[in-house]
Amino acid sequence: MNFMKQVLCFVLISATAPTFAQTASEIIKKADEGRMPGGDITVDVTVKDFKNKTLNKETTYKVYNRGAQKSLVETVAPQRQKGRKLLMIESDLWFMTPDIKRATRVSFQQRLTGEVANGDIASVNFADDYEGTIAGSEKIKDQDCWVLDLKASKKKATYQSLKYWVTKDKLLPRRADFFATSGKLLKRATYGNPKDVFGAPRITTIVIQDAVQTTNESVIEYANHKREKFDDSLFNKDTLAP
Amino acid sequence: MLLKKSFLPIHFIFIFSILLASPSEGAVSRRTRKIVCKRGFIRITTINGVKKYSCVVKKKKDKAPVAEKAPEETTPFFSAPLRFQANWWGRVAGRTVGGPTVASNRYRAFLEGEQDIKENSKFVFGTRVTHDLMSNIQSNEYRDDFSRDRSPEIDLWNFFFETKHKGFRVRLGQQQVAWGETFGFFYADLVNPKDLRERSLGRLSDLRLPVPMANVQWTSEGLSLQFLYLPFFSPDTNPTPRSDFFPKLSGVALPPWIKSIDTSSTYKLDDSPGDVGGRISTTIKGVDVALLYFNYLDRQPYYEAALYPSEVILKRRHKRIQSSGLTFSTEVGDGWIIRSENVYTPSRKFNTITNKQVDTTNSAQQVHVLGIDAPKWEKLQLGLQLSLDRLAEDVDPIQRPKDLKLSTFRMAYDLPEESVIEAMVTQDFDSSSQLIQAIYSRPLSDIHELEIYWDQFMGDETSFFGQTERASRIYIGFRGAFNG
Repeated sequence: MNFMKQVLCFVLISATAPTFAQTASEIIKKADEGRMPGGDITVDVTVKDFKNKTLNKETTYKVYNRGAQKSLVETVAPQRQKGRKLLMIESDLWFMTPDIKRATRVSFQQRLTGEVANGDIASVNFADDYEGTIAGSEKIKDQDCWVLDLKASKKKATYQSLKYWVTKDKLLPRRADFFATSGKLLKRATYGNPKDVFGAPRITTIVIQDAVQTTNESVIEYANHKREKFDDSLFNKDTLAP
Repeated sequence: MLLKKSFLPIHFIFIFSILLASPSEGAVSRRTRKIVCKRGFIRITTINGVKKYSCVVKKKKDKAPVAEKAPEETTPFFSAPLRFQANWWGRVAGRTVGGPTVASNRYRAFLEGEQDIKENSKFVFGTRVTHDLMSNIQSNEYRDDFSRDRSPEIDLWNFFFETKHKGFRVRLGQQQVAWGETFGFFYADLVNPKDLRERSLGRLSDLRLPVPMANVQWTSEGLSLQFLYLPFFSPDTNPTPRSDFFPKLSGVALPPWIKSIDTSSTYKLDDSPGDVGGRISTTIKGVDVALLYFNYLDRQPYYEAALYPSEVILKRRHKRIQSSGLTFSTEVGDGWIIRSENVYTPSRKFNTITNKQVDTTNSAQQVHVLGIDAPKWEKLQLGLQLSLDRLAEDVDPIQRPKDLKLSTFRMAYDLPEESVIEAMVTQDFDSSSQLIQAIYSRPLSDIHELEIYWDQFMGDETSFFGQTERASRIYIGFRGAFNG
C-alpha cells in the first residue's frame, strides 16, 4: 500500500510539474537564427541614436557574417568615418581606422555608437556566449513568450547576464534586459518588425534603451540580407588595413 | 507463365500457386490483376483457373535533349567601377611661446583611386598635395625676414598593384606597412621612413611615407606570414636647423669649429640599398603575438665630419642595421587591454662629440613599451603607456640621452553632439620635461569636422622636450573626407 501511495504521488507530481517541449539552449539557438541567418551573408545595418526622441546621429554599416563566430563590420556612412572596420573572430575583437592603418585590439563592451556596444552589432550568438534556463512564461503585447535567464559563459560575452523573452510560436526574440556584473540593469532591447529572410521570419529592428537615462535610445535596422561567397582573408586582422 | 527475359525480381511480386479451382462446366472465367513494380507492372490473368503472368517493362523516357552549354561568363577586366576617396585638412597654427605669432597656415589633400581588376586584383593610385601660406614646407621655416617659398609640395602617395590567390596577397609598388601595437611614438613601426619635420606630431598615416616595395603576405586561420623587400632607400625627413622643431642647441652648443650640418638632400650609404624583412603574426588563446625582423639602412643618419681648409661640415651617412622585435596585445579581466612592443637592434651608429673631435660609436639599442587601456567608464576612456629606450653606450647628449624613459597618460571624454576631447601628457623622467597635447573635435557635417588642438613642449632648454619649446602651438583647423 505504501509503495502504491508513493507511485501515485510520483505520477501526480510529474503530471503537475511544468514540462517544456524544448530546452533553453534550443530556444536560444532558434532565437539566434531569428536575428541572423547562418552561413556567409552580408547585411546593411543602420543605427539611429536618439535623445529625447530627437535623432542625434545616424551611422550605416555593412556587416559581413560567417556563421556565429566571424563577423566584419565596416562603417559606410557618415563619409568622415567611412572605412573604419570592426572584426570579430570568436572571443577576439579588433578595430581599424584608416588613420592608424593597422588593427588594434578592443573590448566587446566598448561602445560602437550611442547605446550600441561593439558586441551588439558584431556578435549575435547568445547560444555560445551564454548559458540559459527557462524561468517561466509571460505575455508581451498579447504574444506568449518564454522567459529565460542567461548567464555569460564566455569571456567575450558583451554582458554579464540577461533576461530574455522569446516568442513561443515562432521562437523569435521579443525583449532582452542586459545586466552588469553588479546586477545593475544596463539597458533593454526590444526586438520587432519580423520579415521573411531566406524563407524564415527574422527580426529586422532592435530598439536599445539606456536603463538609467531612458531618453537615450538607439534603433538598429537590418536590411538587404544577401548570401555571398567570402574569401577567407576577409576575416583576418592582418589584412584589415587598406 | 510468360516472362520476358528482361524481367527482374522485384519486391512487389508474390509468388502464388498456379493451380486454382476449376471453372464451372461450359463457362470461361477470366480475371485480370495488375501489380505495379519498379520497372513497370505484372499482369496476372486467370482464365478458367489457370494463371498467366506477363511482365510489362516501362519504356524508358527519352532523355531531354541536352541543352547547349552556355558560354562561360568571363569576368570583365575592370570588374567594378573605379572607387575614389579624398581626404583633406587645413589648419592655422599660432605659437604659444615667444608669440603670439602665426607659425603655419597649411592645407593638405589626399586623393586616392582604387580600381578592381578581374576577380582578385586591384590597382591603387594616390597623390598628396601640401601647401603652406606661411612657412616653407620643406624646411618648416618661418621668419619675418625670410622670403617664403609658396610652391606646393606634390607627392606620389600609395601606388601599387595587388593580387590575391589561395591565401596569398601580393602588393607591388609604393605603399605603407604598419607594424606594432602601441600608440604615439614609432617603436616597432620600422618599415617606412617617417616625416619628422614636426617631430612625431600628427596622424600616423600622414607621417608614414609610402615607399616602393614588394609585400607578400600569406594568411590562414589567424596566422599571417609577411615578407618584404624594399629595393630603394629613403631616409626619414628631419627638421632643419632653422625650424621651430629643430632642437635648440644653445644650451649645449656645437663646438665653434663645426660650421654647419649639411642639410641638403645628399647623403652617403654605408651599404648598397635593399632592405628585407618579415613578420609572423598570430593569436594564441586571446593574445595577439607578432615576431618581426628587418634588415635595413637606418632611416636616421649619423654624421661624419668632412674636413675643409677652414671649417668642418657634418655630412649625413646611413648605416645598415638589423632589428628584431616581439609585440603582443590582449584583453584581461573585464575590458582591460594590455599592449607591448619590444625591439632590439644590436648595433646602431651614433655620434659623440668631444672637445676637438666628432666621432661615432656603435651601440646596441633596446626599446620596451607597455601600454594599458582601462575599460570605458560612462564616457571616459583612460590609458597609460610606459616606454624605455636604452642604449648600451654613451652617445652625444645633443642627439638623445642614453636612457630615454617616457610615460604617456591618455584621456578621452565623449561630449554631446558627437564631440570628443582628448588629452595626453608625456613625461620624460630623466630630464623632467613634458609634452602636453589636447584635442577637441566636433563634426560639422557628414563630411567635415572641426579640430582645435594644442601641443606644448615644456622643460629646461636642454631637456628632451624643452629643447623644442619654440614648437609649442595651438591649431584651429578642419578635416574632411569623401568617398565615391
